[in-house]
Amino acid sequence: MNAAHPTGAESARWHASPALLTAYAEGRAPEADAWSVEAHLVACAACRAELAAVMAPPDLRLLHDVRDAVLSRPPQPLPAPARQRVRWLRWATQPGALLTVVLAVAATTLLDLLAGNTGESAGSLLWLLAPAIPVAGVALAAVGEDDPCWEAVLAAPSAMLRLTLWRTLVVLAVAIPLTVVAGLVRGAAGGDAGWTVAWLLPCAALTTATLAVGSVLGVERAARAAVVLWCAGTLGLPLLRSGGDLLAAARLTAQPLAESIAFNTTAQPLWAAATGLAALALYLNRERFQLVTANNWSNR
Amino acid sequence: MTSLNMLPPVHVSGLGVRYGRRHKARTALDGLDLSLDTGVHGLLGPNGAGKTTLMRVLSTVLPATSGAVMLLGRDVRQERDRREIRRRLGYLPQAFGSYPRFTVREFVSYFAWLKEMPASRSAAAVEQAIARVGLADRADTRMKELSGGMLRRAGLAQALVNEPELLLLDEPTAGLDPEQRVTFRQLVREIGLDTTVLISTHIVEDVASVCDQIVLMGDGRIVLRGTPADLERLGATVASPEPGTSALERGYTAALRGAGAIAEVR
Repeated sequence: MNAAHPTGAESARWHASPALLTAYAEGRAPEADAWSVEAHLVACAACRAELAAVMAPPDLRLLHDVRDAVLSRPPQPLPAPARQRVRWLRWATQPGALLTVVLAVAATTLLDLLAGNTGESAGSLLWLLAPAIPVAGVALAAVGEDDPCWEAVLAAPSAMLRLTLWRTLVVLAVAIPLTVVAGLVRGAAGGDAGWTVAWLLPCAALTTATLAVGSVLGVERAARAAVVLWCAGTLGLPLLRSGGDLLAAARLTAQPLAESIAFNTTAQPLWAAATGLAALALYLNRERFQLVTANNWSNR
Repeated sequence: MTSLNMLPPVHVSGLGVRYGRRHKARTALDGLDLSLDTGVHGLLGPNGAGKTTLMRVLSTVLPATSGAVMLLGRDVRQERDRREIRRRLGYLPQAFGSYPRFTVREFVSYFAWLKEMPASRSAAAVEQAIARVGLADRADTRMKELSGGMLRRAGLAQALVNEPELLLLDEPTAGLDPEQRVTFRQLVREIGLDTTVLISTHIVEDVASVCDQIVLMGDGRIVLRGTPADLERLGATVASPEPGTSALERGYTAALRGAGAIAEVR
């Protein structure tokens, strides 16, 4: 046993004996002595060198390897906070909904080009249908009974409303820039600026109204109804007049947006008011997203 | 601790749930009273007894037609209370699918996000929940590649991720193999030390090995409450045991028949 446990200034003079170091290196040293040696080794470079000299080569090699591994492979950093911040994007992005938006924009632009709606006037099928294009995406992004974990999602705090809003925002964030780009492309084909913002307010109104009505009917159903009503309202008459010829109907829609009843300057404040009212209705009705009535489960 | 918390974690009185419209209405729960304390409770009963309906009401998903439901000292009917209850609730529904595109970790993180867990806590909580259900080595596997039992365990991880104070498990052992069932029971016993756990099942053996208390349902009411030992004693008194049944199973059957007799007298 090691009688004197060195502390403080004393430790500078005391050194582990070669016999003790050998015993320690071979794992034979009594526990109390081993602790003393370890505490001393931390502070004393001379004894560390002495220990290295008495250690068996395989042990030395092992120590080298461990030291190398620790120094050359620093601990992996935790997932970067940036990843955490955009996490909701993963949950809110519905590939099907975005694909629908892309297809709708592409189809209307193509019809416009085929119908020759590229001239001086800024009117086109694209602008006419632009307010309904994000809503078509919302229909596919809606959280409904077909969600595989619907009941568990429903049991999470305000999850339905939050999910619906986030998913709608993602759809809008894709649909609006895409529509603008398509408009520019279409305009460029006719050597025209082809740029308008007259469809943005109707788009906001239609989307908000869809969510407000969706709190009662279900978002998917409301969105489908909104798309059908909008298409019937804007394309119905041209289609009737052209006798069902889609290209001819598309040509008939080629009047400047500012001249159409739905998009002119008197209609814009009405769309703004409709957006506000629908948002209010959605807010007041937000609880309906959180519960389902017993009748939804009556036939199970 | 506020005075609200003096109520037991689950306090239900006069609970009624009716499905369907007027003339086609069907009563699923009928004037049910139930109080549950911390610990593991087994909800037993035949199909159609109203177990899943009760689970849905307790998970705050289905509103009661009549009666009061107080969970964790809060009223389910108040929106603000309900939101707070849901933050502290874990629910594994009977019908539980998966998102095939998601990995297990994404799936559990998704539910941590839905349950409004702060981002600083959720990453560690997700790892812990996945480890607790024994899916740590599958955390990055897409769910479409998981077996039925693994999906069930991912569902359990989802329920556990927010360290719920009230845990509702509807048929949690369906699809688990015997070994996984043993692990599951250990996990539930451990959770039940400081959590109110309600397990709906018709596997009597699950109840015997895990539950401190049994709630036996029949026809939308509570037929019997007691310990597994009580049910076993009841089973021991029943004559002419059918071969291959345990005392617990006989007790279960006897209690249900007794309930039928009571209903007939009425």
